[in-house]
Amino acid sequence: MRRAAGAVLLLLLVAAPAAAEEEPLTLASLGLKGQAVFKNYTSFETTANDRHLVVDEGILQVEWARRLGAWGATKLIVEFRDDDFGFTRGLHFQIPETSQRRSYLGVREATFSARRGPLEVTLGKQIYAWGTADAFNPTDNLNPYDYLDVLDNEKLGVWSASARLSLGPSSLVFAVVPFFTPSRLPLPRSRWTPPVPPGFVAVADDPVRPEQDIGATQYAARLRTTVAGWDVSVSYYDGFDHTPSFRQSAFQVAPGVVIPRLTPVYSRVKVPGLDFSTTFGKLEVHGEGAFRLVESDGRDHRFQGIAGVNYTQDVGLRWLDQMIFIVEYGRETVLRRIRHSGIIEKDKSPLVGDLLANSGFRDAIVGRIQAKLTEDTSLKLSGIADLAVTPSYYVQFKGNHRVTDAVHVEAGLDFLTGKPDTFWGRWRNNDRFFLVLRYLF
Amino acid sequence: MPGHRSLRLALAVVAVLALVGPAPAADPSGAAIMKKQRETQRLKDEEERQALKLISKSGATKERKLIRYLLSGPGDLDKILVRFLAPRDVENTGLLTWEGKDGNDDQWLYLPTVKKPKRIAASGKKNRFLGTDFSYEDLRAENVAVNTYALVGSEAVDGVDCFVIDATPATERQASDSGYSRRRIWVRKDTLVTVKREYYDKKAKLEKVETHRKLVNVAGPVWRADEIEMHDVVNGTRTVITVESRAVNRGLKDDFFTETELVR
Repeated sequence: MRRAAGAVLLLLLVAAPAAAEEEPLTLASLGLKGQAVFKNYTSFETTANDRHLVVDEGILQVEWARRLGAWGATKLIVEFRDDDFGFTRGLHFQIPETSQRRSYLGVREATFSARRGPLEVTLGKQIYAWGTADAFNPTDNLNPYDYLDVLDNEKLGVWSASARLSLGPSSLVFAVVPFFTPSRLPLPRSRWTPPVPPGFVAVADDPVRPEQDIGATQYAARLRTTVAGWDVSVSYYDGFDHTPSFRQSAFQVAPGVVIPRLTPVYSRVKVPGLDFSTTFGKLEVHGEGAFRLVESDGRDHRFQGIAGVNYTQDVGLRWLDQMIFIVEYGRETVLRRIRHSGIIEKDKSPLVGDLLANSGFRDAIVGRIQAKLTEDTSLKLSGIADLAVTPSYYVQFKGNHRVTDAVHVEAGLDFLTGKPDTFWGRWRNNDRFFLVLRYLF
Repeated sequence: MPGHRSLRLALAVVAVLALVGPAPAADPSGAAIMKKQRETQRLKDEEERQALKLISKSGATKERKLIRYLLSGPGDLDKILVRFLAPRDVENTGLLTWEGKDGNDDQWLYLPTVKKPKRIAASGKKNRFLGTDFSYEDLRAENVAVNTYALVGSEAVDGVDCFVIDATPATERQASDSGYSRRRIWVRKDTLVTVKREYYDKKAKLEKVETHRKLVNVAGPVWRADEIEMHDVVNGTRTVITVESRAVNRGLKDDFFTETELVR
């Protein structure tokens, strides 16, 4: 934390105006901008493998962007970060990133784009965002996530090349990701890794990642258009799941004594998908669906879908400007099981229940009510009910306030409930208060 | 013979008109003035860099900056792309609007943190734009198809004679979408440029007064204001839009008003 605070202080000194008679040297004059963020998470109880109640984190994000005439642009976003839990450790620069923890200094995005006519080509570390749903996007598969804090997860950039061809209201995007980057999973000794259920004995291997050769290359394409008030996209992804499945084998601990051996592996999948969005009066309606067809290291071919509506009510009172309502329903269906795959069932496995499940949208209702009190202040109540197998719930209450154009504060409460072997219930001891202070420069 | 009957009727009408004499020169109707204004003051495309100063009741100020592109389309329907340049928390936020018939617009919002455009229902027309005293509907070009215009008189504004026109929603949809029961519009008789508007709330009470200043001739008969002030007479706040730069008729294409440009 001291290091993060020092970096923020240095930044503020650099940003401060120089002597009055000189041209003031500011970050903006150098083409730099960014934000300094302080986060505090205070949990209400300890867990079996984590005694920390309070986690503080500091992030300094600096962005440099430049347009190169009409033909190109470049952008670099670097991040300095630290925390007092140990999510961040060491300085490492990897392609692809496979470290369990974050680096003190990292590149969040680094892109170079060149444009000629309707074609734009972008190279570098990129973040893609596909799909029309709010809570979860089955068609958005190119980027892994940082799940060190499961609720405060972050999308990670991937080194890739993409081409966008735009013709009127239609566009075609094609992306190639040459290396596989897994999602960063919760640390074994953190509250986000649930304890092993009583009676469950197994040997856990290190994850087996795909070889970083030509076979690890991932591809995706998306064709999007607007017709008669409808936005419609079709997409395709050929690559890996970024969170692992578990291959089960036998491990002999002594003559005649065999226990299960679990090896995390990453399924190779082909994912054709479709999404749409339109409006009917004051109602925005959207939907998104994708088939996850397993090519290797997977157990099931599945369909994932989500659809919902977004309604905005203008209130216009002095103390309540606007109400926003979002309701979505997410569903995952097993289309066909792959025999003898050796991969463990993710849902409702014996002894571990839903602890291996990596999606909370198998049969889920998502809701959000946002009250925009003024231009500067809003309150938000969000909830997800995972009704698959045994119900479990996640509820968040959050308030945002813009103190000034540059200083924002956000605070709220997270509540997780359900039986210990359910999707959200596995984190039932992680109810917490959070505070985020943001200074933009 | 039918032909002879028609001829006789026409002669009779001419005779009656000759007796009555020429009619006095009538003022054009409110609708005709507004339609004429829409025709003469329209450009093929526009690009404006604007600075917005938000002045509170106590005199405290905040500043916003944006760039606004407009493309006139067929059927009197425009495409508008607005990109915010400052302050930092809204920088690169974009709003793309394709005007539709009867107010059924297509609208997309791009938030840089989300990294993708999102279609939004155009329900917030009466909401204040970026915390200013302007609502989204105040910033739109006059939509003559969904309003009724009545010429209520003439009045000088800054020494220049103006038509005074009352605009009221003509359709149920417009009445529901609009935050106003009536708007009073002052249109200069010489150039057909709007120089002042008064906005009356749903209870017919004066809510806001908009004043256009520093008129400049930008092309042919087309004039634009380089400074527009909106005064909220209820809350005592003011917003002043100053046009820092402007380019017109430079050949913006349909392709510019798409998702691709919105996210760029």
